[in-house]
Amino acid sequence: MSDPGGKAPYDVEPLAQPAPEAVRTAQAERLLRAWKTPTGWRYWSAVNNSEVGLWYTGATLFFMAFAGVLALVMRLQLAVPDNDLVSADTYNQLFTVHGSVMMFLFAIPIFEAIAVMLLPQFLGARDLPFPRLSAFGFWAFLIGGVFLSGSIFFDAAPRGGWFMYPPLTSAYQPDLGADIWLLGFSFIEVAAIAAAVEMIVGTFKCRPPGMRLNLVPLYVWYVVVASIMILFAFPPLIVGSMLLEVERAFQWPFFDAARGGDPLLWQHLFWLFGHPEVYIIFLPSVALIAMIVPTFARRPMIGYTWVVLAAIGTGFLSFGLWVHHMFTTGLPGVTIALFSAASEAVAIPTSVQIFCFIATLAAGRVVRSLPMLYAFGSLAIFVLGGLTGVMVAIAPFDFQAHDTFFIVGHFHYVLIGGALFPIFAGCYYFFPLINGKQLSERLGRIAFWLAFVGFNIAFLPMHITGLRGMPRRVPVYPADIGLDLLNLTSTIGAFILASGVALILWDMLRPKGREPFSPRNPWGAGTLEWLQEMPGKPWGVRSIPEIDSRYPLWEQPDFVRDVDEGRFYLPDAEEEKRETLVTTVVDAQPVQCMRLPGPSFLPLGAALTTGGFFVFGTYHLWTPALVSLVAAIGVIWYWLWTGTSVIPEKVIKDIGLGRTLPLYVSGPSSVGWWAVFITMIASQSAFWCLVFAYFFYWSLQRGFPPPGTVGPGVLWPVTGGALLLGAWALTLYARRSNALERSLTTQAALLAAIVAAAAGVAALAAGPWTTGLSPSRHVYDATVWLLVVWCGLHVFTGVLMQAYCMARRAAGRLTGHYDGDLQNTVLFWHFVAFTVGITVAVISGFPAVR
Amino acid sequence: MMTLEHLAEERQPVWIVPAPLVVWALHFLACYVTAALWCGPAVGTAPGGAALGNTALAGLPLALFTIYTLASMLALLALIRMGYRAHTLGDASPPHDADSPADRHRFIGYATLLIAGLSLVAVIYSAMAVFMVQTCQ
Amino acid sequence: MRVQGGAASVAACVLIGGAAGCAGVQSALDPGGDEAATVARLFWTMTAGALVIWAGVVALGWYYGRPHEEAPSPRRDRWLILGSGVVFPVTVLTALLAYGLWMLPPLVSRAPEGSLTVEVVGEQWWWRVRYLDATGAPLVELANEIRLPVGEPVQFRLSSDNVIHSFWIPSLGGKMDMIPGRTTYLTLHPTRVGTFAGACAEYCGTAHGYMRFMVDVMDPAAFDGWLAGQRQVAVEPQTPETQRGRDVLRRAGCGACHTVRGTSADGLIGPDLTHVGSRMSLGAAGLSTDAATLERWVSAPERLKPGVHMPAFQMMGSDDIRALAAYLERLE
Repeated sequence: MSDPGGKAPYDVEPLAQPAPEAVRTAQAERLLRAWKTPTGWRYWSAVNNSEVGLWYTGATLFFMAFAGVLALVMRLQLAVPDNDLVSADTYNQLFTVHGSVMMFLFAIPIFEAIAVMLLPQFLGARDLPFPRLSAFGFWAFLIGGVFLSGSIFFDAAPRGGWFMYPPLTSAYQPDLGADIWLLGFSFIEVAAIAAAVEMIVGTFKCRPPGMRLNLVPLYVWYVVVASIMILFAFPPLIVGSMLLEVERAFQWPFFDAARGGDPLLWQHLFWLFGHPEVYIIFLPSVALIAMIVPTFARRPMIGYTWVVLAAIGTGFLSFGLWVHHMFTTGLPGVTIALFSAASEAVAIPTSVQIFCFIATLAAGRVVRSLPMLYAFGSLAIFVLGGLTGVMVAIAPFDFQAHDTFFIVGHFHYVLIGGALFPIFAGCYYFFPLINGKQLSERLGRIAFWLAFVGFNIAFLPMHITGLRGMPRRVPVYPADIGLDLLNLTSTIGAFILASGVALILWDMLRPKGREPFSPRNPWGAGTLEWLQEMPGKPWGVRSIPEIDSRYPLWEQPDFVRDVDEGRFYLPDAEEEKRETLVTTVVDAQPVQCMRLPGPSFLPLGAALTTGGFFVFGTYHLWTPALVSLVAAIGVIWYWLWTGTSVIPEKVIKDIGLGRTLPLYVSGPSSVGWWAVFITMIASQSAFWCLVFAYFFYWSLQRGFPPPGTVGPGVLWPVTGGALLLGAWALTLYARRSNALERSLTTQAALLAAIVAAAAGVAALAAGPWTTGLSPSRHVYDATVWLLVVWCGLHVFTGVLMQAYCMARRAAGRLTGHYDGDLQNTVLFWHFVAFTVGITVAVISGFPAVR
Repeated sequence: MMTLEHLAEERQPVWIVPAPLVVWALHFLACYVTAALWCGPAVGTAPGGAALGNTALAGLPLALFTIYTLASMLALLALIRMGYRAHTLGDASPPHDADSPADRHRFIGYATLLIAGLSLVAVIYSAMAVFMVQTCQ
Repeated sequence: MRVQGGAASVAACVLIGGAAGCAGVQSALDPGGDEAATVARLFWTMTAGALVIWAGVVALGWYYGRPHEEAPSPRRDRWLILGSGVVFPVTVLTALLAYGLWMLPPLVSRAPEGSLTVEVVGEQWWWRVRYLDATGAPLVELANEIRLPVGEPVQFRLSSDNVIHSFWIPSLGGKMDMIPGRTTYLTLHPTRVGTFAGACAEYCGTAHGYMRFMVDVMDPAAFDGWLAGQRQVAVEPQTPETQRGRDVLRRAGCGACHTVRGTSADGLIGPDLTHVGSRMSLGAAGLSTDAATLERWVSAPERLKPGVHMPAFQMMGSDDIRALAAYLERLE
């Protein structure tokens, strides 16, 4: 076969002979000591992905059960017409919390939870690139989640609906509920972005050697697509929440029509998040099916590239659908048509992947199994939800169906069929990886039928309920208009569904101490996660394998033996430190042996202090909030100082198979640089939402800026911009002199950069200040101020980073070679400079050219 | 003939995989912004704008939609060509699952080809929307 | 001409909607207007297609997913992925999209110049309804009730000065939001005489579930008579009790919020009560307008409609309240 290039010359085979038994035992002991999970109360300082992932998954399932109980209360209220089981106000809290918790505390985080737990196993890595960051994400999630869910027990829960439309939530609900929602979820969303950064870096930089892009497991493709979507979908919501909270707290009129604002901006920002979010939930769940189907078809996935197309295509197109939640807001017909078209297009990739799965089953040797039963249930439910989705994407039909129970039925078919059933399939499939035990086949089958039948009894009638005139979010309905029987049926179905879900949860929680461990790779799967021993070892894999195929356990001979006998990379931890491999993006060639941090309470401390800032801030307790903020900065500083960019005791390390790798790299080959880069992409998408807001307001009214407004002028903003560009240039210069080991020049440049930055922010703010822009007067003033404040916050962070570099340099922890911190600071400042440049161009340039 | 050197990972264009969807996104955004401006008060109330009594889009916005659509289709055809050439490198056919730079290159090409096909359909759908529904009401 | 969707759709309604089928005063599947009929037809077309496709996909999944021996077939792979996964959906979706786009412009266009124009303002939590004359000036204001002449287009002009609401008469057509700072438009063509129910479809706060209204589509002549009647001032009370009721209305300060044309009550905050006794329902909550209900309403409105902004007037004493209720009931 003429294969240009052929087999790469650097392709590596495992050791022909294993190391002697004694050597291997000693290696295993050292590995075990390095990766030991802390015990006793220190257990909660663990940062290993298997522990954090387990806590994370457990917490999300708990929140699901909680929100499910709320749904049952709602169904009881709706069982009969004109019921008075709960008050209207309680009902409003119930559906707000049910929707918000299911979305923000279950559906999205369980994807991250499962990915934290399994991504390293899929990639034959020892852990994720930033274990402490995942621990921080989990703790932040837990604190925020408890804060939010708990509010309903104090009758203080948000009651604005999970979509929180202003002006209801800005001017008509002065209680704390809305603040709890806005601040609590913003906190959780930041944690979700942190997890997304971790997944992306993990996928692109921590694959096992040789796992080229064409060999990546399908699950990983889906997860990386969903993670990248988070970078673009969450920032609009964070920005929207920020605008709404600022309006609530300081009367900046972003959504107040009387002062030039517009309630529809919230809807744009919310759905710019809210629609992709559905696919952020769906893709990682269908990813589980994409792993289960080949296993039980006993053959590789047919149409691998088509499935990758489906994941990427869905991810992109889902950003062109947001206005289909706004078809009845009176937007121009041409706009409605455009979004209707994109909403139809997104059905194509979804259909492709379903038929890839069916084709794989058709060609394979299918064996009966419980996960496949759940997968089939998922297919039956999801396809119907997808088809009703195609129906509501046709705008004329949506004019009727919108905000009725038809939609409630539709999206429960999508989410329960597209996410919950796949997740249950995944639970039954992957459970042995958690504690080495199998779930009960018998309970699982009973639970499936309860859940499947109950679900359809509950949600199928809702389509008709809606079209017979029942709007969403009503606690009562009249008795005589044909809704009684339909609603009663739904209530009965909901309880049957709940009994099925309860049985599944019980199956997972019930003590399994006496049951035998599952055999290794119980389903006979072909992918790396099934390398795990039963029960699993904290180190993940005994040695990090070289990958030659998509299904190495099926296709690479003696693969498990070679891994177990340490014939691949890193079979040892000579220094008893946690280590994993960093590889290149395209062909996964190893470039670094990275040291990973071990157990620590610092992530918990950082989560508690940052959480304190948000929680106290919600209650307007400014002093404790400020104390928490300062403490948070302190804890994070200490965490970074002691735990990151640590200078190793030697430059290079032998990782086995005749290869040596550096222990420390900086700049674009390092994972830290990637993390900063990816985080700043999210920051940029938030920034562009603010710019969008500016032009959105401009396009809506003839007075933007309102007549008589002169601010912010040109002089001050341009001066500020020039000073900040100077700070950026000085930071670049500092990196250069640092590389030349000119310590004094480096310090001087950084100091000068800090001074320039401070002066720059002051000058930038002097623009709106001196021209009398008052943010509570008109939305123009508020928007200009917000852009300036946004720049200011970024510059403040940038200054902290510069100061950190100065301190590191002074302490000898930053040198010309070990310059990761400074590299990352420079990268951050690239983005700051860009943000400032655009801001000045918008606030000064745009009014001037008009 | 491609050599191993040409297939080195540093020279592998990965950006071509999402590029077709970026083309779709730009086309979509351009149509959306054009429609929003012409139907909104800031631009639409100027002479020729649709918001001022005149509710149908005509003239310049329609010309713009045409330009956007033709340009996007050209770009997509170019990407389809790039993808197809990479996909058919040598004489291998899918699933492109060998552990070789060549199969990785083919995979990237194949993914680009498929994604460009999807993007083409999506661009045609957007064009159908703006040309069939030319109203600001 | 009203379109019911044919015998098949009635059968389908009975099958999935229970014995009552799709009928109902608030049912989008029991159309009383052109817009609703168009959408109902679209719904049945799409539903039929969707069920066939659903059955096909599930059958394929079930058939190929049951345990069987290895059976590779590149031809079948192509058929499944390219045929069923790509060509079929693209064909169906393109046709559906074209159909949907084709029917969109008429549904969003305005009624012809000179059509009956009704302004509806969303309040928390009721509907302020104004019939406008040809110049756009209000002819008459009422609340929570809309009457329309059959067979004529009607232009609704929708707005809100508080939160977002959504105006929806399922039997006549789709819904349209009422958004502070914007004016939105909805055009309907009622085709059948009858009484229909409407509701707020956008969550708008505590009493969102109690924000409903009634719609009566009438013969044009009857409509004209009704409208002329609505333009009259309130009837003078004839009995001692109703006269006492009118005095209570004045004394208790009802006029601070309510208008009763022909009296000194000229408040603008709450609903106009000039003809409250002739309305089909009370309080936007589907309550009857008889004296007993009016009495309960005035004493403690919160009990009938949670969240309502009207304060309770229990402290006036039951005799006064009874008189007031009697007066209001007779304001026909």
